[in-house]
Amino acid sequence: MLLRPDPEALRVISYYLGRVLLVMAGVAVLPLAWAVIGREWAPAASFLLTVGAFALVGALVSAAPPREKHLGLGHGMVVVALAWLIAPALGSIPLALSGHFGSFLDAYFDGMSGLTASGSSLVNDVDHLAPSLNFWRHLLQFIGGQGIVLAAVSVFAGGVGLSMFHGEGREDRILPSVTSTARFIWLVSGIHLVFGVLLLGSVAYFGLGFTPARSLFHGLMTFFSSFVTGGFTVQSTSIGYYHSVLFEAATMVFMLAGAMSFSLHYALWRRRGRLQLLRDLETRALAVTMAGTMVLLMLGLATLGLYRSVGSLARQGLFHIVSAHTSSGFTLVPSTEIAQWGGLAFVGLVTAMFLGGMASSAAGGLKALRVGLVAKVLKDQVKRVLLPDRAVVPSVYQQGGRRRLTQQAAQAALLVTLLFVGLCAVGTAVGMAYGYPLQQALFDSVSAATNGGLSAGIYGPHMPVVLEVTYILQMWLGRLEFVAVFALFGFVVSGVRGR
Amino acid sequence: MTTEPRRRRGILREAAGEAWGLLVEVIVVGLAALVALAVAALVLLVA
Repeated sequence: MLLRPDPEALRVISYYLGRVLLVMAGVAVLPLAWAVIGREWAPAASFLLTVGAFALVGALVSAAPPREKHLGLGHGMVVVALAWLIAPALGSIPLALSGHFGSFLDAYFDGMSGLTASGSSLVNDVDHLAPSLNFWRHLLQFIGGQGIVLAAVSVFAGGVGLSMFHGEGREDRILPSVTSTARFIWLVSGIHLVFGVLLLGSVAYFGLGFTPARSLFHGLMTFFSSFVTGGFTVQSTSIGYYHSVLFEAATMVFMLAGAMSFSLHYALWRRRGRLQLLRDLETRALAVTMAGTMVLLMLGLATLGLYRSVGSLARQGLFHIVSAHTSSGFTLVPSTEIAQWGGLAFVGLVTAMFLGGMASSAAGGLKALRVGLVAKVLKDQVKRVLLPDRAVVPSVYQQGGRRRLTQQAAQAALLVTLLFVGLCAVGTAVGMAYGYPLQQALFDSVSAATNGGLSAGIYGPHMPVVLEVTYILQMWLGRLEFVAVFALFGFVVSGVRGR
Repeated sequence: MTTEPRRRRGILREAAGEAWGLLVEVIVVGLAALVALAVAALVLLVA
């Protein structure tokens, strides 16, 4: 029997949802300030409206504080799922008003793509978008990549338990409390921000001859995008615009840093068990799959005869595999060219996108830890079949120390794998229903579900509305790794059918 | 030792740890580039 949620549960959910939106109102002040300083009056007005909208909705839904401020696991998940639906809607207001989008749905697609750090975009003529609007797109990515709830947790310390933290796809607390973990994550990001803007800006200034202001702008935007494995750029030709191996290498540093789990950052920085990291299941799984998919991509590209020199093949192969595997979505070539990468090149790129980065990182996809666990389950099963009946197969693996592979952990990894496969299949089927070929439909569906951002050419302002909504839902489900969305669904069903 | 020098040394130690972390990330990309060049050479030889 389903139990109908009591009014107190609704008050708790509304209260925390409102607080998340209030924090987003604070975040939206930054592009407003940028627009005012840059004398971009039309975007400034739209940002003022956005700040007001976030503040008004946030204040209204949190107006009636609950008696008990404890947030249970299920309710926390519901808050996360709702926050990730509402924040892109309000955040896309300035984009919709910019005149660079065909419809509000297109702007919402960009809002969702930004917050989920997918990096796919439906913007028209991005090369002439106002700098403050570009800043907002990239800031949305940066905040979303870290987690909007994580941002909220850092601001209003205490009161919020692990539930919302887990709802955003983060599995481990690095430090004893959620708040201190959130603050550590912001510290890592802040230091990378300084280093990243300096490095990328220096390459743009010294290597490409950009003016200081332009170098700073491109450095900041590319950092925002790469460190959260987002994929937005301020020009339509992505990173290919720079025609610079150095800029590409610097971008790769931050894509890889973004795809590393924050516990790995912690271990690296605090000098604890660094050699142990090389033995971890997740590190090994990521290294093996990245190398494997890179070989596939290069074999494919070489077979197609597209790149005939060692340098150009290595450059295209490495950059696109890092971009796909970290679910960043930067490219050096147009999407029409990627659409022609058939055979092994297609297999390598799609597999890399599907597998994704590390758990509890900014990257999307299935995550290396799950890949490692699934491989471990398969290996153990084969061992059990081959060894004598009475032989005991110890199910242990290395991950920050020796761990036992429990049946629960194995089931969870297999279930999420299955759900990701299903989600990709649904998007592919919808794409094919609209007449797109299997390869193109599969590529863009996997890209949406894993927050990858690469495209084989379907993403565009003129794509069918149902397909666009499908991709938006895929980005939402993929970013939250299903659980929070299922919790919201269960909450709604129990509200309707419960007693 | 008074609190202030200890705090300053703590910050320096932290900063050194962070610089090391960033350096490791740069080294990883350098190694990945070398591996990519080797793989590309091998692939072009085979294909």
